[in-house]
Amino acid sequence: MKATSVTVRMYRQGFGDCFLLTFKAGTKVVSRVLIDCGLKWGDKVVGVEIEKVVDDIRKETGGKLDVLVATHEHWDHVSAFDPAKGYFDDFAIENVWVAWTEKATDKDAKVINTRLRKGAVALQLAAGALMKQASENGARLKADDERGKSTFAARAGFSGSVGKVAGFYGAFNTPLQGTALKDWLAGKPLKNVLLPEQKKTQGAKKALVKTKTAAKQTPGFAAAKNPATDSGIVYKDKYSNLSVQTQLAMEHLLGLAKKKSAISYWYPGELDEESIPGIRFYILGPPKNAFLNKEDPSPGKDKETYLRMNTALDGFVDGVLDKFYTGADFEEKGAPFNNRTAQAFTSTEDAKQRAANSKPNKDSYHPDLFYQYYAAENDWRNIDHDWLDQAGALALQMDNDTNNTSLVLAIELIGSDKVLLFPGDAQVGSWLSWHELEWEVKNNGKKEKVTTPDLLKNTVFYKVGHHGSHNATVKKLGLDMMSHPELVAFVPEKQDQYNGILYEPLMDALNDKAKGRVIVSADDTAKAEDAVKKKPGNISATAWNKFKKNLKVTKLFVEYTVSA
Amino acid sequence: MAAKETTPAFRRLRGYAFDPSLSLRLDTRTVNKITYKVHWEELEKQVRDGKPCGSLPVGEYVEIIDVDPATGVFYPPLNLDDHYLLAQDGLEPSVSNPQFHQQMVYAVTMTTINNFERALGRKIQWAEQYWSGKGSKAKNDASRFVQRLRIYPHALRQANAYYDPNKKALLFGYFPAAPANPELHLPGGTVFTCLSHDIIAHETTHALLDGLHGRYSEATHPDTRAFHEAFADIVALFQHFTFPEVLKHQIGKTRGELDAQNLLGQLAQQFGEATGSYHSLRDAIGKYDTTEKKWKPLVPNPDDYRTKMEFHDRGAILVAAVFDAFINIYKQRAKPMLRIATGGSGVLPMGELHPDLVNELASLAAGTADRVLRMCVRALDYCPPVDINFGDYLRAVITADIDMVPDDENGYRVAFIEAFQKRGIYPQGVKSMSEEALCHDKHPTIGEAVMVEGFAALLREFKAALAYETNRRAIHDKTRQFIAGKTGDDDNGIHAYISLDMIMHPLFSKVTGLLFPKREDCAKLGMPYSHYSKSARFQVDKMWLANRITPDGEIVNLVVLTLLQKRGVVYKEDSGALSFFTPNGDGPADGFVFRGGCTLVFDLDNLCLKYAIAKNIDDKERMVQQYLYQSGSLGGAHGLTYFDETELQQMAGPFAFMHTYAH
Repeated sequence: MKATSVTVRMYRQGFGDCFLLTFKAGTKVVSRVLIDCGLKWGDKVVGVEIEKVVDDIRKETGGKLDVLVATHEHWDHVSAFDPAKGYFDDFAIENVWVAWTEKATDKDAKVINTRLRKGAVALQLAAGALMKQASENGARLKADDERGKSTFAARAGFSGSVGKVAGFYGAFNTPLQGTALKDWLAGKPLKNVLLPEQKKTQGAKKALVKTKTAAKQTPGFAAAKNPATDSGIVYKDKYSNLSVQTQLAMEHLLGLAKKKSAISYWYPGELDEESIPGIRFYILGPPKNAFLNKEDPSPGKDKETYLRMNTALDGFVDGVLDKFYTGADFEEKGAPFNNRTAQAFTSTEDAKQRAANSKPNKDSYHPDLFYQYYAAENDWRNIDHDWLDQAGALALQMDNDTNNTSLVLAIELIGSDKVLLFPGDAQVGSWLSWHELEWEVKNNGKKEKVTTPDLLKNTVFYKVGHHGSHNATVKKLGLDMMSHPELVAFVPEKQDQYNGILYEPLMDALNDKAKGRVIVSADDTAKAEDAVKKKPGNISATAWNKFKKNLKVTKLFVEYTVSA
Repeated sequence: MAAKETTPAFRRLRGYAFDPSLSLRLDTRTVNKITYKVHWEELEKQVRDGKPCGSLPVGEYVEIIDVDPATGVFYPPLNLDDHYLLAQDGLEPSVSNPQFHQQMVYAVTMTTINNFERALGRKIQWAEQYWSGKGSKAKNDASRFVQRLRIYPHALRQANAYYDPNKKALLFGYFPAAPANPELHLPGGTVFTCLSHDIIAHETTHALLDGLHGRYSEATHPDTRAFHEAFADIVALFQHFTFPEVLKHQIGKTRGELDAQNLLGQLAQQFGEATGSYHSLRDAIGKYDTTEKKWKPLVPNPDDYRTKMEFHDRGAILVAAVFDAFINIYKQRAKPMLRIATGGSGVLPMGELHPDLVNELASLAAGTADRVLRMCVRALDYCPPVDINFGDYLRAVITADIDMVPDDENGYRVAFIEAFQKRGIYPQGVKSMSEEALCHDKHPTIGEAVMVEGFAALLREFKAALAYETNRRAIHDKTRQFIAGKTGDDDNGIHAYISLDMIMHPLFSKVTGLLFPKREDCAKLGMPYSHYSKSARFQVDKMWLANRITPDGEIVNLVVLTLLQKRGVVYKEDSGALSFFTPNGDGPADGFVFRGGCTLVFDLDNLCLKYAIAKNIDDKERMVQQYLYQSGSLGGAHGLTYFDETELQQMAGPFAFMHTYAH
């Protein structure tokens, strides 16, 4: 039986994606598809706990999913598949769909994943080091009456922000060292790399209690409740701990498929018409070309390619790993010089020692440069930690890179020309690449070409990418092309989680395009309940009533039905 | 140290003209190495284990400390006084020798500093220290003196370099180069930002500009950040053009077709390309047209200034305008030379140009670039101390040049005006774009009120005290004394004269654009009250002596004073209402600090106030403009995800993240 309608249920668990799609023929359910199920680390909406969400999915579907889609490896998209929780272990899952970037045998995927893993380790270490440094220097800065205070506040805020991005990988609780780390970076599945006792705490259900304890030590370095140091920042030395939970969740999720052959690794340009009768799935991303990790639109040809962007940070990544990761011996340390010139270089430790042995020299310039650098009176000019500020750029890049591995689906109700667009968290580079694709379909026995502008033109439901941030909805080659009069936009987002999300100008553009039919899942400043109270001025009463008729708002979810 | 007869005038140091990447290209290889002529100075001596062992890369202005915290090492300091190095113009340019990196940084920063000193006619000073790290000491002006700019050639592992105003330091980064062929995944070695002439000059200029106008790093107008960037680029670009070797090569390449604009524009862009991320500004000048296979200058759009708000784009407008002016001047001046070379036809024969002609043209271009560079730098003395915009800058360039060269024989000023006009840059409150209208009003009516006897004498005393003072610390401390009054007698300083005398005169407020209300009105106006002046507080920020010799051989003696005032402003966007609060400590959450200020230029020879360049503290339009800009409605905020822009700017100063976080 051909599906003639689809109901999209957006859960309101907080900052994270969880979408249940029910395809129906008339009133009969044809198929159930779940796209992501996750929640930002440490986030919660009282009454809409993730357990309740999973229960609702179980109740609604009878514990049976035809397709489970995992868009990309971020905690706010896959946290419910944490093997320690096992929420979905009792589900019967026919198919699991992921992007080609998850395929172990794909050459490009391997390159990307090694990079991402290394970057993730470096980011987490750098976030920890930054927090430590902000904590240590805090007292000095705060004592200064001029710009010190604002510098301190900025530093504390910044290191917190970096920590929050690092939190996309879950909690910092996995000591991964030595060979294990190397094997993992080389691409071995995490579950094969962890030591037996780690597996126990990471993988088994009975470790639940322990994981919960870890959860309380918020990885995002959230504001400390009881300031213990002069600086007011509580810093826990967790250098040896990493978060690899997103990957464990992803591995676990793949294991939920009935059999190995039930896992589909999708490539851009592919098409699926078999899984659900009456429905076409167009695969738009992740791209398999140079656009992959282009995070922002930028002029100039040399800025387009992803490798250039990445290599600029390679030295930083190597430096962080070398400096802060005691567990592994990294060969590439990113040192800029390998030929030692006539005089040997002096290590900073030796220099510090020499400076300490040196006596102050009040009358003239101190003849020892090391003293000049380390002397207490010159402390304010010391740059020992400034290089770590690059962690912010790394955080952005890691986030962009991972977001751009999002599986992007355009779902078409055949015969109606209506399309639902689920871009995951895909960012600019991915969006641009869609325009290079073309699909061939048969409508009424006639061959037709479908392009991305066609799909965008027919989009009646848009799951807003990356929780409504500034660079995950392209304007000209994206939103501007969504010209369908019935366009509705759903934004899974919660207020005050990240700076710049929601991005107001985007919300304005969405409201303009969708004529006020924009629903946010868990934002107190833009409640779904309020959004439907009053008809916006720029929409006809008929269209507004139709929208409201197809919309259902409950505490747990918001639901919208698209019919052919 | 007293100069001996045998003290050399210059220290000759080899270095890259561009950056190492051009040494790898066959066509530019030969011109990429030049010898910088740095004014000779004695360097600080090094002692190790009780034994003297040469000098440190530490002089009067800069202190190079080569620590690489990411790698955890110090690279050995370069001994420039080593007799072998003295005999061969320093170390051979080399990417793999960190000591050469120190030499390169030293040579370029010193060249840049020298260009500023020549243009300004005085010793440069670095911005004062914000805090001493010791609380109370910070209040003592003398202790705020910053003797040397710190330079860290290998501070960062990123494709970035910046000036940190908190540390008064230049931090240079290095990073793995992009693979030449992305398909091959081959790393392309390490790129060092400290080996690029343009990057070093650019960052040094940020530091120099901060020393002159500290408030320019506050983003109060779409132009302020753009100005800092663009000005740094202008200095880097024109400093480059003052090397005739580089120009000769390019001019020699052209053969018959000699369209100067394309020729030098292309060269300017090559500089940009060589320096990686710094090229966005240079794109403003022109582009290589891939279809026509020809470099084409960009046609200026009069709407640019009104419509482009992102600060890189905006800065590009200013760079393009100045470059355009330069090209037009050069073209005019090259015409006679070309007529002579072509027997009056102006049409060059095919084939290579005569080397003499190449030399002449190159030295003409270099000379013109040098003059334009000096015009641009000198203008800083004629800029308002806060909230600069491009229109203000144009007026400053014109006014400064009129003071220096009364007769604009070669049309330099006209070229500037035309280039700015083409891009839609019009100063506010100016009736026409003529030279006379753009020049600030001479001798504003204030005369008697300002030039009270004691004050005039004080200015001359200031000149006498500083004219032959070469010690920068002494200059700093003496200047502070002149402003605040000698210790124990604070009624005889500049600040006292203004506080106790001048502000009483109604004309003073009118001319300076500052407000001096009665005590009871201060709070109402959102201005901090001063018990000393019994009116709104103001600050004498800078006092400079400018001793310049004009091309006509005249000596110009000026004293420049900058005054600052602030008030707290709240603007309600929906109602359009403005209200005020006293900006001490924490203000209302939606309040912001608004500044006004005035640059007063005094003519010492005639003992009169020559110009008053004001930013009115009561300018409501400017308040609204600042609010709109800072709240993002005018392109101030970039919509950064995860990071707060204000936060980023406060961490390591506003320059650290300009090239990395914003695209």
